[in-house]
Amino acid sequence: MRMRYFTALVMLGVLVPATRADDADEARTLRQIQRIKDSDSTEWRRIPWAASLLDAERAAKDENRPVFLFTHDGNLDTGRC
Amino acid sequence: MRVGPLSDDKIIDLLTKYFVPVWLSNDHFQLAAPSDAEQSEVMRIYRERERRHLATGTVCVVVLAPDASVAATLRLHQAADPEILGPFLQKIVDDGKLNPRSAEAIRATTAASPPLAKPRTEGGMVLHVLTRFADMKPNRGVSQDWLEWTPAEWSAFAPAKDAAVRAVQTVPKETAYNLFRRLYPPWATWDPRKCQVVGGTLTTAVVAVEGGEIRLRLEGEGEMRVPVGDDPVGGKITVRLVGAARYDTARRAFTSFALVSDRAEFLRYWKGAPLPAKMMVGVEMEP
Repeated sequence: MRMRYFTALVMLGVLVPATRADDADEARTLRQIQRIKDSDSTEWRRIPWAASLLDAERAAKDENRPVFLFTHDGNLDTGRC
Repeated sequence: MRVGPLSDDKIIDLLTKYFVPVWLSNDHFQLAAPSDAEQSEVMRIYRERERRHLATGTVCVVVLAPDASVAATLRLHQAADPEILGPFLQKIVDDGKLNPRSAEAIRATTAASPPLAKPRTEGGMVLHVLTRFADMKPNRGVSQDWLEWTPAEWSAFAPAKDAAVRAVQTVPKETAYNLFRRLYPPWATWDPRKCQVVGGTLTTAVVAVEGGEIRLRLEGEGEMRVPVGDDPVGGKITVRLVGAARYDTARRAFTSFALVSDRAEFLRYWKGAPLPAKMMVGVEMEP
């Protein structure tokens, strides 16, 4: 009788076994983090950025072509810009 | 620029094929300081732009000729429009009758991906912090920060080996605040040192103990002030966090630690009118 009462409470969602609730919390948290990550644009990373201005200038001189220099504040790589 | 013209297919194609592209942070935020030689070169370019009455803003597109002289500039508000930046680049390609770069040349100059964040202290716990505006508009994208809790910091709230279900611990204030300072949006002010924590708490509660593992529910809330324009505390951030963590009792270490915003808002004012914006926050322990 006691077991049946417990099962009924679980089915009604009144009582949820700790591990199941915990699994759901963790899964929801990780899904939300992934959703934030997936929402970012990574297209700009397809551009073959040189490691430094001096590297870019050396390559431009060797290849006789222009440098595209984008100067900004913050950090392009981490979106803090 | 990052999620605007620099993510535009046509611009990417032009920059990849015909230019040697490089980006440069004026304040080297989250980056190593440049060499003296690079810093001198940056100043030389800046002075040349000034002398020739070209655009001299710190956020700017500059095209250098093969001899490194300044060939052209474009201010940010123009460069941010792909319909202006595209023709600007195309004209340089056409005027210079440029041929596409070889795959070998591109490979030789492309920077390696930035290394993964590793703890600076033995046993340190590195947290990766992601924020964005909840409207999911692509104009600002996602911002990322990293912080490290030293073993002394994280062990102060690690569960006891014999912790019982429902045991609650509070993360020490300074340890929690170190995290809260990074919970601000991809906004013009990006430096966590300028983020002031007004108040907040972060707690852990044991929800299960089994097989040498303690599972925890995480809850927190914080209120922060960040600069907006000339006002050092003009922006207000309120955030409520929920999440989960796992602790290995044999290794005495967290094996996972993740938080997301249940509610997060960035509030600023424009001419006295409130401009609230919903945010999304995610925090995860680096492997």
